[in-house]
Amino acid sequence: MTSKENPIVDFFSSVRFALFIISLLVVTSIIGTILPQGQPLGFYIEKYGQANAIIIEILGFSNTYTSIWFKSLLLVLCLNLVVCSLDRVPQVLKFIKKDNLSADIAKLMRNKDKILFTSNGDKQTVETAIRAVLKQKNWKIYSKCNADFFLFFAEKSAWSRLGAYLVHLSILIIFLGALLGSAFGFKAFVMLPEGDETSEIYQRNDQQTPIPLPFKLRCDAFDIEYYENGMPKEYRSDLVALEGDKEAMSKQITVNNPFSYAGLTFYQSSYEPMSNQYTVELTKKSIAKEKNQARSMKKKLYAEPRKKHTWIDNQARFEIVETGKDGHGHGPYTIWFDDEMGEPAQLVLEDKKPLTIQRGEASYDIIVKQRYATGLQVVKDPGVWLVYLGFGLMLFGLYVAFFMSHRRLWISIQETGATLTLILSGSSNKNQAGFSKTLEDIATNLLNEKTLELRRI
Amino acid sequence: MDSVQLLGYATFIYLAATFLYVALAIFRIERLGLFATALTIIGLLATSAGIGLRWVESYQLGIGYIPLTNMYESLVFFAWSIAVVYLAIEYIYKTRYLGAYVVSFAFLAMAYASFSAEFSKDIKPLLPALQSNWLAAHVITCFIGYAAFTIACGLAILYLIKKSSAGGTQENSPASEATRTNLAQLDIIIYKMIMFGFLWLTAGIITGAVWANSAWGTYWSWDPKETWSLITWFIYALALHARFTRGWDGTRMAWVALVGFLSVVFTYYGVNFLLSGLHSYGG
Ligand code: HEM
Repeated sequence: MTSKENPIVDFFSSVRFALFIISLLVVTSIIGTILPQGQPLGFYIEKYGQANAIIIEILGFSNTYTSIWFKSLLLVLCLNLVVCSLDRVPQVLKFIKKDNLSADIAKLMRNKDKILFTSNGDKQTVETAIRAVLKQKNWKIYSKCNADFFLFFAEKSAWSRLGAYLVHLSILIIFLGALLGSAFGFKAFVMLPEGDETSEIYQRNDQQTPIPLPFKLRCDAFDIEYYENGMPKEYRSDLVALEGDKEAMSKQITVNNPFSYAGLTFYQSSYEPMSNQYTVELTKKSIAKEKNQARSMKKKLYAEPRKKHTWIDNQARFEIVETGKDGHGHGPYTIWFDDEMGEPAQLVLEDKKPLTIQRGEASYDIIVKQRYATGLQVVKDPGVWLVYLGFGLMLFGLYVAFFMSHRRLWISIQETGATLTLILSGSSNKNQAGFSKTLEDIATNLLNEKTLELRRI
Repeated sequence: MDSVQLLGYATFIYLAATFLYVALAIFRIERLGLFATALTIIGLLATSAGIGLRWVESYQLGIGYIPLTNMYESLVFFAWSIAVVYLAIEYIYKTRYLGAYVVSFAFLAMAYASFSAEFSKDIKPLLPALQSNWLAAHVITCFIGYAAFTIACGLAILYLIKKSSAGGTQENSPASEATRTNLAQLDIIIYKMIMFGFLWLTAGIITGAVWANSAWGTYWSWDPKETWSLITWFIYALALHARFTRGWDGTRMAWVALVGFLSVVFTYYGVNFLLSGLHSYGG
């Protein structure tokens, strides 16, 4: 610690304090999962009695994770992280940049892993050969000629000593992203009927406060698909973003597949059948007289029962005379249909099942179904990319912190009479067993270099 | 034979392997260990085949998803992960004496999956929210993490037993040199399992958050299951810091591994049945 003079900073930057804060987070989080959250006071009084309920309320355990003190704990954890890192990173950097060539023979001999050799070779050749071996194994090589010995220093992944700090940094980045999201983003909701467009959405917590949309959103269709056993398989909405009257972008969304436009993202979240409203799809197929070509025209309209609707282009008129008896307003439907060709027709058709009627040269396919409104969560979160960046950095940092190590090795070459004495030694900040093997590997490689004329002692 | 039957047989293979590992620990006949390893490998192959078969079956039913979507399937994958990680440890450390304390957990997970009546083993279609590749990524990462923590717990139990039989918790007890090196090695493996598990649990929490964000637009909502996974994460973070900076190891670390495991069990199992929330896929 650098701040010996200031015991408060010392304590605040200590890991002991971090352990304390994290323990507090654990304990309070546990309480928050046991006590039901976000209930009115009456609920707690009924469940835990008056006195306990008041304690819960005062301590903020009815909304643990959004309470001031819980957020403060998180903030203190972050400050702790910052102070601790500012305190330590410079030392780590200093270590990474340290002059490892100032080592002397005694220092080499102090390393736990060391291998000694003698050689009858020529000093210059030996140097070159060692350099080649190290280079081939991707070591970063430094060398220095001392008065009485020649020294190689080689290292790998020195920066991996920063792994833990990458993890710490990632935590800060994630918090920053979350903060950004809650400061400049919002969560909203809109219930949008099929066929309608809106330029307003509503605050999620209080459905009264409107938020204007910078564009118009239209829902062209909503549909539910079921499995054979009746479970819902898919909810989907066809959404269109409109700039003025132009379709700027459109997408069919499903539950795990939202629509993003202009910084907002729309999620399929719920739906509602609209009472006394039906979607009618009419398709007219006709054969054009001259060219003998099939032509088809489509019209979608939203109909109320017992009201006449007109498809002007074709002078077709349509009415739902009666809806089903199942009480939900689904089919079967009795409909009335008329156009220029012949008598009006009265028909019965099933919900969602197309029915074809022949009208002279042309035919009409008719589909009638419930009209829905689709429930969309609308999220603006300008911080999410930072959060994701933090996620990535955290995983990378953990990998570096846990599975990479800073490996350092020295090789000294000393002239002792007619022969050379070599010391190969080194250390690693993690995985010492793995490092011993690495050193053995290098020794084997060196012994295999015939020009070195090495013998192990 | 269907996948449920096949996985039922795999349960018995793990049971047999556990017995052999226990016998090895008691009678110290090396050949028993060889059989135990062989059985574990066969059990793993049977589990893999079971998972593969279930995958095929789900396609035959016209549903088609990786079988990692409910309590039954996740338990099976849990056992699979334990077996894989354990075999890796056995290979790396060249020792079979840990098997009794680890493969037994694989057996327990399989037995619970196969014989409990609490949850259904049917292949059911997926609700819209579950139809995401993130679900598979989430389950795989979480359960590899859980498997590592489970192994850490099994080895911690072994550590505590050895330690107490070697003469209490006194550091300078007259324990034999061999016991002491064994204990030191155990301690290292426990630590490594916690690191390994921590990385995967982190990935599990992250994939869960990304999934939630793609389904609801909220990557974190303090739902009880999420919160418990974070609690577990905090507990192991505590363990790492206590070891790295305050020198906690040996007996203390073994106890932390046990507490962490309890938190894992609660996250995985307790939350589904005792608390309510988004992850109610227990039933
Ligand atoms: C929950 C939040 C935290 C997480 C997930 C976390 C994660 C980590 C990880 C993964 C390591 C590497 C451990 C190893 O190599 O075994 C580490 C090391 C460390 N952490 Fe944290 N940490 C957190 C909070 C903190 C805080 C608040 C402090 C503040 C004092 C702190 C101080 C340290 C220190 C001093 C190291 C050793 C770093 C070194 O290698 O020099 N950590 N942390």
